[in-house]
Amino acid sequence: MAQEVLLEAKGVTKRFGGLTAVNKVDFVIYKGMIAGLIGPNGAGKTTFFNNMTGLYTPTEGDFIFNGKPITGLKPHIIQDRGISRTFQNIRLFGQLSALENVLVGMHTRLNGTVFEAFFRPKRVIHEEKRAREKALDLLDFVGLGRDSAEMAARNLPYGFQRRLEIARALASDPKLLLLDEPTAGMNPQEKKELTELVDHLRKELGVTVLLIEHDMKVVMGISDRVSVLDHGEKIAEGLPKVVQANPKVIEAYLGTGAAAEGA
Amino acid sequence: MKQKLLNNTEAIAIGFMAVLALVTGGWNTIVCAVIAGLLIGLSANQNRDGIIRAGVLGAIASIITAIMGYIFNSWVSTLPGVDNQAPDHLTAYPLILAVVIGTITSLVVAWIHSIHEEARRKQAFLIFMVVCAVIFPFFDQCPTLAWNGPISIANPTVGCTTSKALLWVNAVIVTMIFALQALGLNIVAGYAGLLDLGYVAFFAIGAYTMGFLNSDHLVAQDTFLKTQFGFWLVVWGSAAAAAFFGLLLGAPTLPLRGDYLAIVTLGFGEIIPIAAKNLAEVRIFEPISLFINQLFSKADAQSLDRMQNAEAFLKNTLCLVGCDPTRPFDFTAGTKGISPISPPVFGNILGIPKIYAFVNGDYIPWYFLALVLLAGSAFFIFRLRDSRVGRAWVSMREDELAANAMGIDIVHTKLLAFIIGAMFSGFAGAFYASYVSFIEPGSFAFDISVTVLAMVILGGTGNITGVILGAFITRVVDLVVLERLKQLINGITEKVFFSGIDNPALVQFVQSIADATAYKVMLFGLILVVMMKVRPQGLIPAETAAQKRKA
Amino acid sequence: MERALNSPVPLSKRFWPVFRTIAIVYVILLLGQQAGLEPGRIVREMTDNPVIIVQQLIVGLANAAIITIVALGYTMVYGIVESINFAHSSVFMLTTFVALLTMSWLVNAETKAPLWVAIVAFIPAMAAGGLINGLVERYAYRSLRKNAKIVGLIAGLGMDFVLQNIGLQIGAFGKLPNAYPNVEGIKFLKILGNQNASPKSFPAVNEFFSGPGIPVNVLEFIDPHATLRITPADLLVIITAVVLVFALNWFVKNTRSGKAMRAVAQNPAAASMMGIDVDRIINLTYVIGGALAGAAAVMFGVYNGTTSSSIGATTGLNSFTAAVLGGVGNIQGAALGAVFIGLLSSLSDQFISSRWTNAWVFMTLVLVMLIKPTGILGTEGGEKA
Repeated sequence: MAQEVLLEAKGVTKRFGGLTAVNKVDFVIYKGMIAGLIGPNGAGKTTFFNNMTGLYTPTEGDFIFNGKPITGLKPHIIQDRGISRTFQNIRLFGQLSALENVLVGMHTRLNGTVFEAFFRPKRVIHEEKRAREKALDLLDFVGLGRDSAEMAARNLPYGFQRRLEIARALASDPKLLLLDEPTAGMNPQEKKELTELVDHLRKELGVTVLLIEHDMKVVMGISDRVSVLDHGEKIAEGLPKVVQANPKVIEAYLGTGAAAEGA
Repeated sequence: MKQKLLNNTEAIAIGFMAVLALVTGGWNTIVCAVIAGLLIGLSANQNRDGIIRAGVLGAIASIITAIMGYIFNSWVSTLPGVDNQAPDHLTAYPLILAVVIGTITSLVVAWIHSIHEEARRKQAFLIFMVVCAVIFPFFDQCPTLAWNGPISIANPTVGCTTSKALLWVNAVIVTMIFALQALGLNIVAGYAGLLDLGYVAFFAIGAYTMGFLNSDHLVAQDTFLKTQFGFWLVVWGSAAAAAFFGLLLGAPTLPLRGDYLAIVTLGFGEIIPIAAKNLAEVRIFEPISLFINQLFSKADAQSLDRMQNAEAFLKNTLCLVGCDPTRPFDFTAGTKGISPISPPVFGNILGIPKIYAFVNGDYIPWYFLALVLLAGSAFFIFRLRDSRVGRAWVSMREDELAANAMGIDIVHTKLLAFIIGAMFSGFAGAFYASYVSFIEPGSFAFDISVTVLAMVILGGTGNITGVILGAFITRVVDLVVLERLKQLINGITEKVFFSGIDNPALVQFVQSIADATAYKVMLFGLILVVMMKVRPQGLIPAETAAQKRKA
Repeated sequence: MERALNSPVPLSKRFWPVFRTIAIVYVILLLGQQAGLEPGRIVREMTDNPVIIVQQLIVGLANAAIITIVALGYTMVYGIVESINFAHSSVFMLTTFVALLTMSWLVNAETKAPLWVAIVAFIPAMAAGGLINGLVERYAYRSLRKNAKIVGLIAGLGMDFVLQNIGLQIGAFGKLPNAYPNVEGIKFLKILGNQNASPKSFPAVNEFFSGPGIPVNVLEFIDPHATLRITPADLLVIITAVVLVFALNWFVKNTRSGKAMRAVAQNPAAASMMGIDVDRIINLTYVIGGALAGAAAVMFGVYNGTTSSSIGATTGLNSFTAAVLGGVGNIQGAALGAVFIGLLSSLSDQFISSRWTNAWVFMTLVLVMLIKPTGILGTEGGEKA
């Protein structure tokens, strides 16, 4: 496993008034790994994501990405630095086509200005052409296929929408990809295919992945390392098999006493 | 299998246009027939039978409108109070023309509509619209189609044997100005999703810039700038000024939430006309010296001309603008307005002799200039939508949070939309000022902001064709339908109900209550509410590539 | 919040926000001269005439009372649906007409009216206000709550126009008595005048204005000839406002519906799960807001003596600014903001320039929105998601 640190979270804490959603979480992601983040509902996983991507600012603690601090930066700047994400409840641009959705994801890597939009110099025409090609390639890559490129995103079947979100997130060649429950709502066959896609991602594109998941089989099957949050705190971390057997983890999911019963 | 006799669009087309013809009559019958033909053609089946059927239906519709027109000519126009057109407008000639042109329109449009290949169809339609747009002004200026010589662009009615200008062209030009504004507001509200209730402010800024720099107003002032800068130069200055104020207004307020932004823009739209009214006497002093001076002397800086110790006051205060005690700086000419504003001129600059100067009342050149302005803007905005910036706008409107997460700087993108939208309004204002040659603060009231907003909403927020369509429909309703309806109702009530009764006060009351034009604001309000409930995207929803149906 | 940077922030960078504020203030002073903002002259005039200051303060407070009640309508609705009700100012305007017509009917179009007439007018005015607002919410706004905010705003704007136009056309009925001068029953319509858009005068409630008043000789030592009065009108308006604010406060704190309103304002989903009928509570909020507008309408009509179909705009601007200034959703905030705006507008009328008073109130609104959008008494609403 590659040992170069890509992202480091130090003592990240987020409080909303009286509620502490994330509590002094330390976290390290190494380049090229697929890291899993699990925990019961309300454990603070998505909040952790949101703090990392700039939607919230941590009350305490820091995020260091590629050696530079990103705490408190706005989401679009963090995206520009190389962290892309998908959303727990799919947030595609429904009225836009699949292709346009992916093109939006490429926003920070393109350079078209307003004046160039009016006058379409050669440079912009080429840039748009290349962008479209790349977007179509991405659609192929995630299994959507070029034929769906012109379909409105909201008309796509559910599984395709999830893949489209991933394609959109990949459009900016991110270094770190955050997937928030990418297999939610899928049947076992679809889950298998998506898991393969994620694996493929890492192999082909060299993207590091941090994955929130509820489906144990999925997350254990693909993660190099799993971290567990409960009530905002990290209670376990390590190889999937080890974490699975950790009594604290079992307790967090099934309640006290279950661990003792050797669940 | 019994099919419905008429589909919905056809029924509406025939029904509405018949009513419109009844209310307007005369030469307007032709317009009604053409619109009916257009709608029928657009809803035809895309095959040979469809074309034939459209032709037949078009003919029927045109005949019906002609009949309605005839009723207008013979009965409605005789009602008291109804705007009597010149007697020669009420002949059979326009009615016959209506039938002919209406039928042809439906055939041609149906034929175009039946072209299966989408790109070619759009192209054909575009050509059709261009041809109509080019023919229209000449027809308008010489409707009897009796040309007797070469037509010169400069003075086309010279070639017309009987100058019977219909003068629709004036209303169309003004509508095009509004349509241009609607295109601009479409960027702000339709693409970027910002509710701007003070859009007229940028229109006013563009207009006043043109008025200021392209008339004798500046020349009459006490400054070193004693020239008119010419339409072609100033129009860019107007756009720039409007864009600048867009930046000024937008930069601090765009981060605000949507309803706050609406209020702020509303206020800005109210303040600009107030400023235009009150900036006829401008004096600006350096604040600190002014403060000290006023504290210790009994001086009211704004009434320098009535001050006893004007000289002493001026010595103690640093005066920046309007420092002559007898003459403050006249910025906007206040309520008396700026007039005359010079029209565009070809030549007359840099040694090139004057080739041609636009003339008020000579409509055809103005029409084509407006058409170029509108078409050019539509073209550029169309390109905008299909670019990185355009995508940023619509994705931001769809889901601001997700757009932000995809790398779009929300504030920057909103500001860009605001500025560009303001710029187009500035263009429209500059053209307007030069066209009507006289502007005053009252021309820039809140109802313009509302009208333009209604156009955008009616036409489909985010859709260029829809917005232009919305503009024309709104103006037609506003200028023609309501006015005629009012006259009609007045005429009918007077003749039918009151002919026997001698109660002028009652007549006054009924006329006041039944005055259709007085309900204009309510009508607009209802349009807004109903559109929001029924179809928030507008008449023609925003077209995206994804919504093109595959054959 | 880049805490990783350990080097001290350079002086030039720290100075920038200060410099920017100074520059903005300077530019405002430069351009504001046209709008009457000449601090030197203002200070001098104020020190020359301290009595006028106090007089204007009293007028300002009385107007603030009226503004408070209207602002409460805005702020309560905003607190619960987080959106401005654009139509509120027109509801206010319509209820002034209701009050006007009621009073006129009770005194049969006389120009004077006894006090009890004004008091009775509260009932139909408040009822009408509540009814209109309730109907508008039920039929225009309710189905749009699920759409994007901008949709509701536009619908509100549309309703504002509709109501305004109705107000305008009501004026047409003023011509009806001319047509049937012998019918007693419609004589009261005469008060609507002969032009739709013209101002209409309320019957003067003389007991308000001609009563002894309270001479305030506080400033005797400055100017022995000064006679300042707080008229019964001022007092009554202020007292009515205070009573209404307290009543509203009590209602919100102590009744079931009031508590339900607060619950829905905080968290509609949770409130719904607790068995609260959210739709009904929202409608109730609108109804109360409308009723308050009706009350303010009576106060306005009697104190200012006149109304027309276009008064909604100024009062609306003042009230909305007051609500935002004090903190939207906050009852005490609305009162506090209203006092500020009332004083500002009366002092501006006197000392700055009455033509530009509206602009200055608007400036205040913009400044509040930019500097502290949650208002003086407002609390941070939570993350913008």
